[in-house]
Amino acid sequence: MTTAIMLILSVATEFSRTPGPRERKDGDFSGEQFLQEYLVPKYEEAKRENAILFIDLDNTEGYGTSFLEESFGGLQRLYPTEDVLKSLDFKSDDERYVIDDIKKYIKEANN
Amino acid sequence: MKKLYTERKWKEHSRKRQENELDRRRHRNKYLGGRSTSPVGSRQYNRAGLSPYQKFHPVSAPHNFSLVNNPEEVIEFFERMRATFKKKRSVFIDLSETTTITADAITVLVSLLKNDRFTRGKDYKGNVPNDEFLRDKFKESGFYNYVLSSTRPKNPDYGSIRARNTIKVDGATAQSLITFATKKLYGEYRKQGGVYKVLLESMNNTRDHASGRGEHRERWWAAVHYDENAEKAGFTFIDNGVGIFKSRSLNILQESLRKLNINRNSDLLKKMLRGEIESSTGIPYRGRGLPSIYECLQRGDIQNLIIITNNVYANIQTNRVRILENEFSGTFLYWEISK
Repeated sequence: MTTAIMLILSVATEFSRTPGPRERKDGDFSGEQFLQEYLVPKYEEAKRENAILFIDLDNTEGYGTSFLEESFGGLQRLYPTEDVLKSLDFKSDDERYVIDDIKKYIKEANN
Repeated sequence: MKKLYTERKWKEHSRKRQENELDRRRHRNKYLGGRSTSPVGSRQYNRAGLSPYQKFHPVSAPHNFSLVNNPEEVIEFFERMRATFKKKRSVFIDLSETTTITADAITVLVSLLKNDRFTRGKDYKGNVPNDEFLRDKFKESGFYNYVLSSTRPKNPDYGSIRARNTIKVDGATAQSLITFATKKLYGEYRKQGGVYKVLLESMNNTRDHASGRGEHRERWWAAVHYDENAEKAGFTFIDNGVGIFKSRSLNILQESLRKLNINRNSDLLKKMLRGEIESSTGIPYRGRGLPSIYECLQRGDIQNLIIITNNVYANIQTNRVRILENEFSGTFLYWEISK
């Protein structure tokens, strides 16, 4: 029996309930900040431990498309030779379509 | 005679007289404490820094003061104000004869009056609707949080106009508007991810595109108004920039689009909403703002989405787009949520 290790990253409790714009210069709690300070470190840790990074998207006010694209599309662009989706899992009970959007941004990140 | 005024004795007398006069004036001003001795409306004038003798040129609002329902007349009213300010004249805003007044028009009015490029630094004042119901509605809209008045309600109950001094994208403002709306609608806060998304995308668009060729960044205004009778909350977002079709980045794109026979702004807006136009940045993973707003409408997260920009008035819900005779300077969005 194999057990998958899971690291959890909650956007609302660890980052912000009000995710903001794409870049730091555009406002607080940007996708750029989330990517650099939270997502990349956790992703690297998940890779080291051969774990899945589970991202809880619930309990925020919502997400702008720029934030999601910069965070997750940006993650794929940082690791262009890797399939980052294989190391990620998501929870979004509040807005289920957000997960589909994120997957689309990851797939189109290097276009 | 000349010899008298040049004599030392006369000069000394004159100097003492001037000093006494100056002392008397200083004492008088200290006693008055800035109050005017003018008999009519002096306190109001002094508090607002206005002179009772200043001439204000009246500009009358249309009877139906609603940008959403009566765009042509309301835009024409704003343009008359602009023209008056441009002639370096102070303006008296006459709302007395309005029979309908909506929060979207009030929000745009506030945004213009707080814009020095619109008022050219000239003074303005005005009145309120004669109709008692409209007068109360106007007072409770949040207008007086931004405009000085002698009759200011303490806590606007039905409206909440929010302006940001920053040009940044601000999730906290979006959160506060949503909290206000949902507490009115449902008696408690409820998440409105679609509304949050529309607000953030609008702020992003203002930041990225509203300034046109200029170096300055445009300020944006956002407001929410609760309609108790209809049990709905209406959101208004406005920037007084160049409008979607005059942004520098889009102008470059439009040249190419003309070759594809997309000449009218109304057609261009439809394509932009459906995501059929690539980002003007040329970066393929950008430019999703307007399409995502359209998707929120399609999902039912918001209703009755109306966009007014440059010469286009678009009711996205009913898919009716029309060309305006009077151009609107800036970008205006309105949408609703209901129970």
